[in-house]
Amino acid sequence: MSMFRIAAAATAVSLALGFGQMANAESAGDRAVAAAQKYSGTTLSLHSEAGLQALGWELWNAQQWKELTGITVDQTSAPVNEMFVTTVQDFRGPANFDVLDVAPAYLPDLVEMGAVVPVNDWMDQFGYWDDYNDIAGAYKGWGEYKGKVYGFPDDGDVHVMMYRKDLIDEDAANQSEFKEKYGYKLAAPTTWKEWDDVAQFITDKYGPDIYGAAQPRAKGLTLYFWMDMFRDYGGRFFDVETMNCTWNSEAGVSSLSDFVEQRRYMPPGADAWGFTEAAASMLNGHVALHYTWPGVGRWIQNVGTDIEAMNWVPPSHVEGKIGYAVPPGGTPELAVGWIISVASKSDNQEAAYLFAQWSNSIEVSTGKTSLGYSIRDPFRVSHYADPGFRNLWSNAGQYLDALKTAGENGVQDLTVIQAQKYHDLIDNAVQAAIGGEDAQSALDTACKSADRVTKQIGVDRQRDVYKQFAAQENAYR
Amino acid sequence: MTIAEAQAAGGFRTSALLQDNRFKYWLIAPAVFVMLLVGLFPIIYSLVVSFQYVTMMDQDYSWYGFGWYEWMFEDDRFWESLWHTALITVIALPCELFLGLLLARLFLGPLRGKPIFIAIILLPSVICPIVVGAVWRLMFDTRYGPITHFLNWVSGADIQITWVVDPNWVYPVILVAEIWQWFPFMFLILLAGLSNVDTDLTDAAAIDGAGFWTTFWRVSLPAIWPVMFIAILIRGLDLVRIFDIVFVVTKGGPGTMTETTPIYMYITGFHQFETSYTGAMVFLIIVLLSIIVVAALRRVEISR
Repeated sequence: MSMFRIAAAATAVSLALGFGQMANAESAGDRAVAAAQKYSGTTLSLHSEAGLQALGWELWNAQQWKELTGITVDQTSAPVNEMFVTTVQDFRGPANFDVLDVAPAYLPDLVEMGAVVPVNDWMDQFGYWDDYNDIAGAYKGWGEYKGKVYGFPDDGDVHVMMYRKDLIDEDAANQSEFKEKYGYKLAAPTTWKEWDDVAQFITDKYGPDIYGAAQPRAKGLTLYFWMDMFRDYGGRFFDVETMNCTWNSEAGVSSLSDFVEQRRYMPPGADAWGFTEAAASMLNGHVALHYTWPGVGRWIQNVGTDIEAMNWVPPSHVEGKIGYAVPPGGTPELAVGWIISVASKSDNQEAAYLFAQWSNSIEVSTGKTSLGYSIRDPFRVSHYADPGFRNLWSNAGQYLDALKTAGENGVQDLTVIQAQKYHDLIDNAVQAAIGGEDAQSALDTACKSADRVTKQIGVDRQRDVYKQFAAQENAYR
Repeated sequence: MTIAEAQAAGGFRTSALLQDNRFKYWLIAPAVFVMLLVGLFPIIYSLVVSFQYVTMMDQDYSWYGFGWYEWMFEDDRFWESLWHTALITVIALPCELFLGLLLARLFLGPLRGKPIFIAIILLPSVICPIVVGAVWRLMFDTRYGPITHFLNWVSGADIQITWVVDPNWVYPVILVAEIWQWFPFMFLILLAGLSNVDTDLTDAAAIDGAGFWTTFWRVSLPAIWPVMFIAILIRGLDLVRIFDIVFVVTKGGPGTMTETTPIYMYITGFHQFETSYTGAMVFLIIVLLSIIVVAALRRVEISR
């Protein structure tokens, strides 16, 4: 990606932002800025994920906000798996935070313990409903709990598939060989069976230079990939009447067995790969199929990776050779994600809310989600249609269309009280199976522990929250 | 001037305060108080909180009885973690002791450049355990790790072991990293001990016809035993607390296969906010370790 293209894109976004503000002086972002000016001179404390997420807040949001309102945004950050911990620690302790990045799966916990406040009244007062309704369907429920809005979905985390179109769509020899071997046309896989076939075909033909597939499989990440497959196979997390764990159902066992078996066409050692190693294998051209978080889809076109903070991302050797699609099954995991919320113990709640409204507004979030470094991903209907974004690289439109479909059909992480405990158990079960334990045995052990957790929380209490989760469109498809 | 002359001249006045035998206790009282505050308070707090119901969702400080202890006895994951910790300890500790002793014996005699070699050998022990874990994880990387490459070169085969996930290899990887980092500590302590063994004793044993092994077992080893025991105790306690290396190399995986008790307590305490339950686990571990340490100290009569 040349500097020229980035500069052109940035200019386009800035112009769109500027003209948008002039043309519509009463946009939600403008209203937030106007209302926030009375808080000029104050400082807001923002707690976000460390690394690129924090960089996005710092470079894209905090500086602009300071210039527009005179309000300083101080940042603290933590690794993704420490975000919930540090948020709760702050709530129980010094209560320094004003604005919070919250993973949606942990919203019930934070609401139940009173760590975040509903924002409905402010949304009415400062006119945010139009922008809120622009958020893609699957994400909208992220910030809602028991009928109230506690935060704005602010990062369209969903798994998206990247594939080598030069090997799969455009290679005539591969097309005929595949057709002859498997009896159907070689294309981006839409089912798990097709995924297996295509990946095996590539490994057989191109290995060890190019392997069929890879995705993050390290501890702490596999749960997000299995929860998606589990629901594609018809799995349900709990029996809604008894609240007994049902991960060890037939759907659970067969999906986990198949998930583990995917290693047969993956590169050696891929079972231990985290996000970065798996992404690097795709960027280096060593893998033909890959599904992961959307940021990689931009890096693979070398978009936004030529700043110093992105030096650790290997340059893409497959720029222009990549196609995008929804992962197999068609209901990808809305894995992790972030909503932006207001801390209940904040001394500057209204200013914190206004910052959230402004940064989440259509015009500001459009610019941010198109950046390579921010890894804030598109989450609005308007993001998917944004002309500047769709022209950011040759097939950016295909990328955004895949994200749009994923954003309509994706499934949410298990979101109940103390979701972290259940997530930990799921991850351990998947890891145990990857480590060689029988899938049934691994899931039985996990379910036994999950039932103990549910009993400890209270079956009735958990059922109420689970029913709300299960009733959402993005829980099961 | 002698002390008697000085006293006669009135130069030294022994105050009533100094004559009071209890004064020495007053002098050390602040230090003892601080040590008790720092050392004992967390233990007492863990004990108190383990009888309450403090979790992520509930902050109930009233009496909850032995509920968390009952919960702990039914918690398979806790007992498994205790087993994993014990497994690492009983394998790593003798290995570190043996390697440390062997090397210390080799370094006992004159050797050119001995201080440089000792400094090099000690390097692993001064590295942060997190870094050691990360280094060994890379060393054992399936694709790029030098160990895999070396094995491929030696065997001529294409060895593809996912060391940090394969259940047959995760413990060996952890043990290699752990032993590599800490056997130099044993080496240093035992070298100091062996260097101070009275040569008159070993010479006398040699004159009496004792061979190398007899001298070592009957003279040198008993002479350094108190030092060796303390080294074993320090490393043993360290191993029971093992966290960093395991966390970096396997994160307790695959599944919970290498999850040690400190890792499990970290997860329950800091990720799941089960404060009372973690307090119960901490207290049980403290009690178990205290019993073992006191019994061991009495056994070797060091506590006197």
